[in-house]
Amino acid sequence: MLQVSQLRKVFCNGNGMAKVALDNVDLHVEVGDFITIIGSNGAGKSTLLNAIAGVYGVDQGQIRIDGVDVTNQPEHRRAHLIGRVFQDPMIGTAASMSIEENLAIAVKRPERLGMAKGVTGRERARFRELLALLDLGLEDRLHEPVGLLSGGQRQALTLLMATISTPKLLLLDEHTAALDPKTAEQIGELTRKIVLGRRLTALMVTHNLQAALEFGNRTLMMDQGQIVLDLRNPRRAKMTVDDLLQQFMSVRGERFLDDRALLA
Amino acid sequence: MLWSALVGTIEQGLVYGVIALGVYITFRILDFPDLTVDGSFPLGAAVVARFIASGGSPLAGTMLALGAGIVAGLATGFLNTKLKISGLLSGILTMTALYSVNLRVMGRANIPLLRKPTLVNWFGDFGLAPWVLFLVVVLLTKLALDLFLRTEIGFALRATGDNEQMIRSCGVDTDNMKLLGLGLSNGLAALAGALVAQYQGFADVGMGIGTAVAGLASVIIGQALVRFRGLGWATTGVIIGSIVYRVAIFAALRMGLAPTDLKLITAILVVLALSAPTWKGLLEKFWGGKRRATGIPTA
Ligand SMILES: Nc1ncnc2c1ncn2[C@@H]1O[C@H](COP(=O)(O)OP(=O)(O)OP(=O)(O)O)[C@@H](O)[C@H]1O
Ligand SMILES: [Mg+2]
Repeated sequence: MLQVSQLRKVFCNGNGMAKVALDNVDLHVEVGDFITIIGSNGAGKSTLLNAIAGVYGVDQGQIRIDGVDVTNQPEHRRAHLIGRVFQDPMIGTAASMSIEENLAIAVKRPERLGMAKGVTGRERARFRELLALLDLGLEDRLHEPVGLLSGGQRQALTLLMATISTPKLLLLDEHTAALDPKTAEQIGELTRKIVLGRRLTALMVTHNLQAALEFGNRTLMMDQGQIVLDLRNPRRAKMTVDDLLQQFMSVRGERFLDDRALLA
Repeated sequence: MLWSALVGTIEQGLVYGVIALGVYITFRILDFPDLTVDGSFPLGAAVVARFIASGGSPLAGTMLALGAGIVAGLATGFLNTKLKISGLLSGILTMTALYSVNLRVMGRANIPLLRKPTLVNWFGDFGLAPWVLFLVVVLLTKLALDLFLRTEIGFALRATGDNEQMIRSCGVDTDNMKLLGLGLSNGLAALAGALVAQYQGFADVGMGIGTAVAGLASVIIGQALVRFRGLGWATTGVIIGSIVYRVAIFAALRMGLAPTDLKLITAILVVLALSAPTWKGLLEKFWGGKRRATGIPTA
């Protein structure tokens, strides 16, 4: 499904210092995998997702999605394969446009846009049904600008937009981290419902080690641009958060560096 | 006398409303501060004047002007999206280059169109005043723009101005959207330039100075006056804003202001409007502070 091989990404900061953000990463994802990704700050988690989505080019290696080599495709060319939700609820939606207009853009992800009507009556009916499933009352607010929604509502809408045209791959980068705990849990449940219900293939970065083990069927731990731990069942099923921290120490020879994870 | 002057003012408001719609596309929808219009407006005038002066048909000349304006907008878009020059500077560069281009097109600084066939004269032959022509053009432009903004591509254009990251992750090439918006906007500015030249009976290289700021003033006035939500209202507001702006200028002139002071007045107007949030914040702080000082609860 997703085949990442020998992926390398080096950033150069202002004073010419090179930072290896991805250090020859290999990752093979099967159809239907729901993979959680953990790791300390600066481990390269976001860089991996951005590289897969094509936000920037890579220095070496190859990315194949469903057999197609997308390594050199610009972001918008591979967007029809990928749905994304970001940490910042503001990033996933256009604030000045209405809920239905945002959804209409998302639903046409696989198509070439033309001069046809932006939202049709049939689409509107479908949006209403899908929004009703979110249970947030958004189905009655189709014409309201998204900017009026709360962070959690926006994130739920982004999740719906990211999955509405059934992407080959769903990329979630700490998409609940900016929300209050209760809303975060709701969005988490929604994520699980959508990913499992629609049998999507997903990568989810999280700082919540508990969630990392509870969600999905496989967990990756990243550190210094490498995947240092690849947990699958049945071994994963027996893991506890403490075991994970232990694992990290044995890999790194030091304590887990992610303060947010320890607080969670 | 006053009546005919007022009709003339409204005619100006309508024809400059076409530019204001263009400025609305770039400044408001695309969030792209495009100054190219200062060059594409006289470009349209230059193209149509040269074309008519050398015996061409006014309608073909006007269409040619529209096309030239689109190309000017695309040039700015190219500088910005492909050569990665900032939007503001891209517009200034194209505008500066257009000054020379316009002189080349005209062959001199001014072309009179007296006793030449123009669209305005054609309309006059049917007993129709220029404002009829301008009203038709500006309304058609508005309706076309309203419809366009409701299409799939129109959605993508609006989203590009709102949230580039979002629309790119939805598979849209934002570079193309910027090129499209800039092309449309400057096409409209050149179209207006062509009409203005035929209306006033000449084209002049200097006629473009302050076009973008005047257009922006119209957009701002329109937004302040027409507060209904929805796209159709927004473009209606822009046209109303353009007329009100011209009437305000007319009033200022009648009150004895020198025509040469108008650009200063316009600039001050735009500064005040754009800084309104800052003023409001300062005022609220001031009042809030005062109230608290007197012990009256603020909430
Ligand atoms: N655009 C960029 N320019 C320069 N350096 C970058 C850029 N993006 C990431 N980096 C660097 O690459 C490394 C990996 O960053 P990345 O954002 O992938 O970490 P992360 O695992 O997502 O961390 P966090 O948990 O804090 O989100 C860091 O050292 C970071 O400073
Ligand atoms: Mg990150």
